[in-house]
Amino acid sequence: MPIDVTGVENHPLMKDPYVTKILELSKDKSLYEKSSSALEQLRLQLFRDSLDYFSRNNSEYVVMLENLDINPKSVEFEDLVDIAVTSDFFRGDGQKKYIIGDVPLGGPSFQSSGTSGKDPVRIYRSPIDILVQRDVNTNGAESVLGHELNGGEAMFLAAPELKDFTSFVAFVEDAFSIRDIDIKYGMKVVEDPNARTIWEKLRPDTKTISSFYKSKQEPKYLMTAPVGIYRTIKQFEDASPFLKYIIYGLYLRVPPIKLGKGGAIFTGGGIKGSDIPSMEKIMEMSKEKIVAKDENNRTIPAPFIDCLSHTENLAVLFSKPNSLVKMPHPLSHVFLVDKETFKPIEGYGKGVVGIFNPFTTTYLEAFYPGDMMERVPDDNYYGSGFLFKRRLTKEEGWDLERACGGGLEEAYKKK
Amino acid sequence: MELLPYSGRGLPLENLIRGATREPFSEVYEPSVETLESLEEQMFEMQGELRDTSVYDKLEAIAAVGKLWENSNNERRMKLQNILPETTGYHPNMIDFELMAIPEILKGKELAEYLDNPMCFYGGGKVLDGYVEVAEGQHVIANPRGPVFIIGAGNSTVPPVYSMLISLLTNNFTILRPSFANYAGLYEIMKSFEDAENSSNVSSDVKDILRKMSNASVVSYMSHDSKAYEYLLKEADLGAVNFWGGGPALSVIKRMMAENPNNPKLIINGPLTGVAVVDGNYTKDDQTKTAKGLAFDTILYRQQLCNSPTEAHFIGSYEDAKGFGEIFSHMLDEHDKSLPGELSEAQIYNTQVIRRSLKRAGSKVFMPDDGTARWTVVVSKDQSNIDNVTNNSNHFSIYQRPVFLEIVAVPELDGSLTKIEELPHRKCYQGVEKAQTVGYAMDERSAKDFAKELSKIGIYRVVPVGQMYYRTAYEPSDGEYLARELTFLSYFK
Repeated sequence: MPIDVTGVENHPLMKDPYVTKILELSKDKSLYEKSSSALEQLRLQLFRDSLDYFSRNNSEYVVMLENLDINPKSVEFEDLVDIAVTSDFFRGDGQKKYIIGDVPLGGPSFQSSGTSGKDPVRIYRSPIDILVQRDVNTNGAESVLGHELNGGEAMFLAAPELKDFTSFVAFVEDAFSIRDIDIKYGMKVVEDPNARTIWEKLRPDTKTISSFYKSKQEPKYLMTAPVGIYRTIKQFEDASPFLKYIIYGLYLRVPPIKLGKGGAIFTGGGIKGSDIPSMEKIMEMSKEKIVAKDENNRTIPAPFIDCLSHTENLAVLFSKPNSLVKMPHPLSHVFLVDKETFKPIEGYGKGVVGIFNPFTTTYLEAFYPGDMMERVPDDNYYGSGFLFKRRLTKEEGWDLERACGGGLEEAYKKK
Repeated sequence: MELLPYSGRGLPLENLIRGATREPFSEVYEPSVETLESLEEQMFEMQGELRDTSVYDKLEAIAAVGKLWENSNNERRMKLQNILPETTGYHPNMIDFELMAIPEILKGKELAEYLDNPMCFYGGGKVLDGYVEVAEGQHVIANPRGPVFIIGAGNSTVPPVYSMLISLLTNNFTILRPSFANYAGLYEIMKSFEDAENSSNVSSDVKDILRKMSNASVVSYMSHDSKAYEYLLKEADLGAVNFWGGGPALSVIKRMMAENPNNPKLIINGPLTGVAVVDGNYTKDDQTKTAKGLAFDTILYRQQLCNSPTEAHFIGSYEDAKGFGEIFSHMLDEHDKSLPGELSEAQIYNTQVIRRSLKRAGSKVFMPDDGTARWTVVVSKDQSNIDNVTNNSNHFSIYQRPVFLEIVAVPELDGSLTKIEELPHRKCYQGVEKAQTVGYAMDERSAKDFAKELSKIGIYRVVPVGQMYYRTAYEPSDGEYLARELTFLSYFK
């Protein structure tokens, strides 16, 4: 079901020139055709416009810019180093002071997995943000898939309850269901007195999974944390020959899992456990076991698209199929700073990543998620790509949030 | 390299428990409960032997050990120069500074002055040797309260050495559990008692006293969940426990001690901190001198001491405070180059993001030219901004931010007093009991008046900026004299 945004069109903010511009740009697929330098110019202009917009709508930003001696009209990307805040500040009700006055109400709030034991990061998304996310994330997915999202079936190896607070699940369901894609959930939440978190209460919903395997619809999209793909493949390998023949051979007719024409695997959340193979290995393992068809109806390994998503990031960073290089949305400004000095890293290199999304209109979405990434050469619209390296080291008193992929691994460990 | 307990009586290795491996030690051993039980039978006997020796003879014997440490090529001193930087995280120069203090303490001059200080013992240290007449026909004697169990903190080797020596000088059988960070320091110092015993330059009388003192000493690392630790607190026949620390660890200790039928006395040296107060008017002609002194106080032990300044108040205008902050940051930069430290990845990230938050909140932030997190000076107007820019998940506590000083411009001295009083209630000081030391840079008369007001709010020490770390023999520690706490007095008329 799409997220309900009824009535948002009547909100006064919908007439704000900045919001109008954002809504228009978020639909614009031609952004993916522009040169990286043209996009950078556009992002800079949007950065300046956004500071003006937020200053008009929350005095917190006026004070901040004054204190930093920044004029929105002449601000440069280097200033983002000081403007961006650590995601840690969005724990609990930390986002509140950054939210604009008269924000459109009725939108959902999302939170991080909470596996660190601290207050999770909590982010409110206004209905305007939801409208924007539908377009930016759908366009992002289509740009890596190479075809439009239109009909078919998708299965999350997750429980439907997760969409109530996990932005990645909610965003994908929202964006996909708008495009008439039938959404299924291959896991369910069970009562378990020993479980402390929802992640530990997750169990596979075999009925839904088998119906997805057997479904003739196409394209089919399989969405999960990498551990979900790994466990799925392992269960085929580890089953006894008899079980393999009866259940997988006669009943389910897998492997391979057939995703049909245009089908693909989407993973997100990364790998946290030491008992899980590397992403490269999982991608390799999936080639024979999960297949799709290309535009000429030839059977191919299912395109494996890995995504990077943060609760505080409206736009998912998609990889090209079978690659780990992440591409930001053309309007997202992703930058790296040196981990020792926090000075911007020009060109290629490894550093602490910062992200600015001009299309989020609820609060200034400029943040450091606490990840180390590397900018690498890549021939895409952005002019380069980003490889996720690792989360920054945790330490007592300074506990960075683990991404939800880690939560899902905990769910699998319990089985 | 193994981490072994020390005991002059010798703890048989087969009765030791192997703990978790911790770098740089390949094996970490701690005593079993059986070992401690067998030791307990002899503890009072050892204490009795200590009492048979005059306190001044004991001081002379300790001085013989100090002689060994005066030699910078002393094997144990050189060993510590290698180990302690790794276990404590301090720069070798900082360790050198610390190791220079060891022979000074062991020399005994200050220890003698401390014990003879009438505020410590009326009648001086000789009250430990026998009855001293305190009024006509009236006498008192100080008896050991022990056996004593000292649980040391990890910020410096000096306080546990001091506590250990005071405990032995007051005739207590002493079990010291240092922190892992400075364990090696305590172990090597106690081993050097044996070195002095074996030295040809030491008289047989002194050797005999050294033997008695090392017999009455145990130094052992014990993890918080160790059976030995639990046994000592819950069951052992102790007279006193001296705990350096606070927070959850203190609660656990209190709970365990409540079960001990022997009712040992608990002496707490809680987590404390320092505040510097600089009068802008008074220092305007020579800000460099004050800034230099404050920088030295700040850089020592990377603000981990109970007297380290973790906040400063500048009495004057915000503009003048920024001027002072700039001079101070130059001094800090110079000091940091000679006593650099290592920061963890989390500390660096934390510092970098908080610096920017403070800038956004309107504070002036000074940092090294290269942008690294080595040191940070923040100047804020009227109130500290640190609590304003952090949240409930990350308090940016004083333990997370080495060499980081916020200078708050305060118009009047009264404002500083209020801030010092409120300090333990602030998020970034969570877990800190209160300010122990106030360093001042102001005229003598103002300082005297200010010190009186500070004493009313429970401040233990008011000393000039630049000497916040420095203690004299006459100073009580955290409002008390430990020697008195580790003894009880008997009266004779």
